[in-house]
Amino acid sequence: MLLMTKFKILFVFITQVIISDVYSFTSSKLLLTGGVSQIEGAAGGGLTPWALIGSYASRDEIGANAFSTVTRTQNYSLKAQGLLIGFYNRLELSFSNQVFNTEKVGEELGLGHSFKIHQQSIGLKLKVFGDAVYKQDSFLPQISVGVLNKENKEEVVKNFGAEDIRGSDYYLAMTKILLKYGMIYNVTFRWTKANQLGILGFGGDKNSDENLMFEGSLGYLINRRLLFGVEYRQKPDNLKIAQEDAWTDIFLAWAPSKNISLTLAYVDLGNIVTHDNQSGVYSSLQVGF
Amino acid sequence: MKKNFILITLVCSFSINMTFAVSEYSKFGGRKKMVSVVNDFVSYLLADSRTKKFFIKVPRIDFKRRLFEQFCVELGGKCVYKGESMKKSHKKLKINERHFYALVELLQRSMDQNNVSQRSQNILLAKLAPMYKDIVTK
Repeated sequence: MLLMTKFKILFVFITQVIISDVYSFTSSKLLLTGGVSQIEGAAGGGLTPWALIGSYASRDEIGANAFSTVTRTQNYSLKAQGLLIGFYNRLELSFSNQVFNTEKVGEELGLGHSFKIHQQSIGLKLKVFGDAVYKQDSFLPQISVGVLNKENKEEVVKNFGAEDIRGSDYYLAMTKILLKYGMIYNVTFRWTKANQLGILGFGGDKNSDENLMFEGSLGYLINRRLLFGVEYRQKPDNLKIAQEDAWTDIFLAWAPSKNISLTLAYVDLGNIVTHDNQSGVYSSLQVGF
Repeated sequence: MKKNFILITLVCSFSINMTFAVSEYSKFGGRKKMVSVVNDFVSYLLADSRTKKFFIKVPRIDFKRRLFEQFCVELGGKCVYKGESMKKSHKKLKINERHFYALVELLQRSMDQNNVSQRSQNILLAKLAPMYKDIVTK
């Protein structure tokens, strides 16, 4: 509740700053070059944070996005909402909620039908090198570093073997738009203890160390407004009760204007707790300025 | 036999290279298309409140000629660019990133208007993008 109030206050403050300065147009960057909002709230693809700083704000501007994502697999659903603010195409601040609905499996696990696991994430990302858009005469990517501080609201995940209900992911992302081929690539390295993004807590009875995970995305710009791509996200495997698999997806991101974008994906999430081969449709709406 | 094979390969790669070098400009649409794109582009630059002030005092015909020459050269066409360097011609203009992006959008709009393919558009933009460092001074 308090966190939502903080979102609202910050959102209103930023809007005031923008309105008060006539020259601070916030939609200068080119379409799709702010990425979309990934499941943990940072700017990137659907599953992975990229080096792009979110929103269309360029070097002298501040911009913001809000998103809502729904993913349904055979036995579960995962919803996320959040807000992101991009400062001067240099720093990104994001807030998001994830709600994981255990549906029938909740009963099987003794938690109750449709037991929901809630998590909040706060993210910070800083661009440290290069530019994904301008430096078209080089293959070198834009590089950003970031952190995602997560807090799972359900102590009960410790019953599944999780060590902690709080954790931080640290990542390094490298993104480049190769205009002459119409392609985008991204590579992210993440240090994490999170089990299924943190939905099943952090660290576990099988492994309690930080893991270095690899995430990659490759996209093709069908046209200025439409990006087609694939993503891969390696996952740690810290819990004895639940094998954890890598996530993959194939996606289409459509940005009819700078104020709105829609991402549709087919995701393969592998095993989630006691159920294998979880896959389904991911849909995400992002609005902003 | 081997000699013939080498000869054929050399001739083929030479032709492919020659074809490639000329064809980006012709794939774009060649001279007629480029003239139309440049005309539209300059009208948009002069009409848009974000970019207007930079171009209003620039001698129009010469400016169009230089743009044409530059875009033609960047696409491998048989042109010669007779203008100043990007750095020199944009010095002291206090152009910032917003203005640069606005210009890119207007160029995209003029290429869309003239039905230039996405691929050709991206190839031209890829050649122009690195000029950012000489153009954006603020």
